[in-house]
Amino acid sequence: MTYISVNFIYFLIIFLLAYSMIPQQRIKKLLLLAGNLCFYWWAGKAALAIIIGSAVVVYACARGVDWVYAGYRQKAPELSPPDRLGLFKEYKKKSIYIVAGALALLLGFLIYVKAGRYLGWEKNNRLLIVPLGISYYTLSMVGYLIDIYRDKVKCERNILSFMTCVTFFPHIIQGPISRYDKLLQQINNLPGFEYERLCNGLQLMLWGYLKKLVLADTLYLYTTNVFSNLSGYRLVNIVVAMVLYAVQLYADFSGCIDIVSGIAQIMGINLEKNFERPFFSQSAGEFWRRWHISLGQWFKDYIYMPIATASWFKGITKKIRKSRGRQWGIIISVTVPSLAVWVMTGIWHGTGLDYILWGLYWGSIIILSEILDNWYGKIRDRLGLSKENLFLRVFRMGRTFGFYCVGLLIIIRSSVAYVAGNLERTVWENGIIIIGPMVLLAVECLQEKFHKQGKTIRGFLGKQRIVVRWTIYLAALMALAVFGRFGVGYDADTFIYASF
Amino acid sequence: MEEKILEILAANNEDILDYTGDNMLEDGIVDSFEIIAIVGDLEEEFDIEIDAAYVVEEYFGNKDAIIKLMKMLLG
Repeated sequence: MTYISVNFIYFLIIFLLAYSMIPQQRIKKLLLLAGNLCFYWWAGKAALAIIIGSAVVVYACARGVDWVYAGYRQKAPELSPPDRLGLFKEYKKKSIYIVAGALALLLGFLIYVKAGRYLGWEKNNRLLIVPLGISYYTLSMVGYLIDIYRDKVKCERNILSFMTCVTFFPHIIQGPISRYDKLLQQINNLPGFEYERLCNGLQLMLWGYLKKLVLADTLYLYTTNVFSNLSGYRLVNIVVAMVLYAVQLYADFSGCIDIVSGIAQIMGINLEKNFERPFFSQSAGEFWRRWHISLGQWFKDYIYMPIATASWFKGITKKIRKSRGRQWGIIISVTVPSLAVWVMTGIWHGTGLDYILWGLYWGSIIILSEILDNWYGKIRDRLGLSKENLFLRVFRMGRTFGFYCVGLLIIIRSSVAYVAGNLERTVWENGIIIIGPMVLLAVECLQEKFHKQGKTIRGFLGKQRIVVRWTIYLAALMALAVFGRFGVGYDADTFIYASF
Repeated sequence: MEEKILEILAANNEDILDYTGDNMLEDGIVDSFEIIAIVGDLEEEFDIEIDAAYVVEEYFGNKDAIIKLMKMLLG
């Protein structure tokens, strides 16, 4: 049962009618739990057993950690922050095995499912059960356990509340990846029926269904047609399909989020925001802070920051700062955790090399943007343009959208082989024909500007920091390796002027 | 010490000095890259180690919180 099936609509109407008529909070919560289990049972009995089993493990482990921390909480108020931290570290050591065991179980099962899908075990369905929304609820559970381990959130003592939160049917299929502490707070304080909330929720649901069923599913017809037969279409069709696919994905995913947020709103629960007009983003980094927000936030809190602030890692970056300078220290300190996040983001989205490449693609763009930011600023200043210049804003938006479309090309099925083969003669060739003269024109304009000031571009580059210079050099080398025409049977010395 | 801290913050992002809220990361004044750069700069300048537990809203929410943290760590 998905959110767009007729069965779901029947289920939802019956559930919401019953839910709205019950005034008692406790019974409302029990009904919600029953509704969640019913919805999940529809997805498969074995899957239901797995999610209940996982929730029981997480609940028990969280209670175990909370029990260990009871001693710390008694002593902590009398201590200064550094002493408190020292004591807390001792208690963390005592509870690490509980948390590590639960995390190994949760992540181990997620990896098993992902690997099983990659190896095609799903077809032989006796070998693999894929619980509905496993990628979403596993991250939420892991986040909750880590927050309990960090003593950042209150441990839920009521197992029924916890089970209601984990299986909450509006967020189980496609997120948002909820923070259980915030959701639990709302589940434990369910409000009564409110007409205005019902209207707002229904409006949001309607908008979501329109995005999904009218826009996304119509676009799907065109994009699937093109991507399933790439070699049969011209470049212009492929580019249009890529742009439409980006819109399709947005309409599909954000449409689903609007539907589930609307349902939750009717119940009096506010889910996390997952989109904030991402196509208006000015940079790749900003785009990922506005697209699938809950996933980005999760990776920032549980992967990026723990690596970037770990003592062992800071020890390495300190040495680099001392030997290579501050700039290199910063570059390494943000590059390593960012790449880890992006590889994980890729793997989370799907199994296979194409998804890892897609993750690395975004990671590289975001890191390079950060490194080149000062350089962009200098160019902008020299050209006398303000950061808020309308043309620049539109350009940056278009550039970010372009990055997104190209990124999609990597993960469209079979496109990896295509990029390496046929597309070399379409996108690359035509791309160079279009972009090449523009780059040349831009460089000529810069040369003219420098010339008037009695300077040269090379002289300007020579004065830049080593990081800037090497970024440009490596980019140029990469462009040469990718776009350069050489190899067996290609005669590089046949210059046009040689024939005169 | 305060002046030096403010100098470090301004060198990373001048907007931090004008920010009056409680969570500059969540409010989009700084990004996680800049927070990590600030931590590195402070550790290098004052020759200390800032534990990961301190790199949270309570101690890195705004310039005053950072100054308070540094005073605490430096005794």
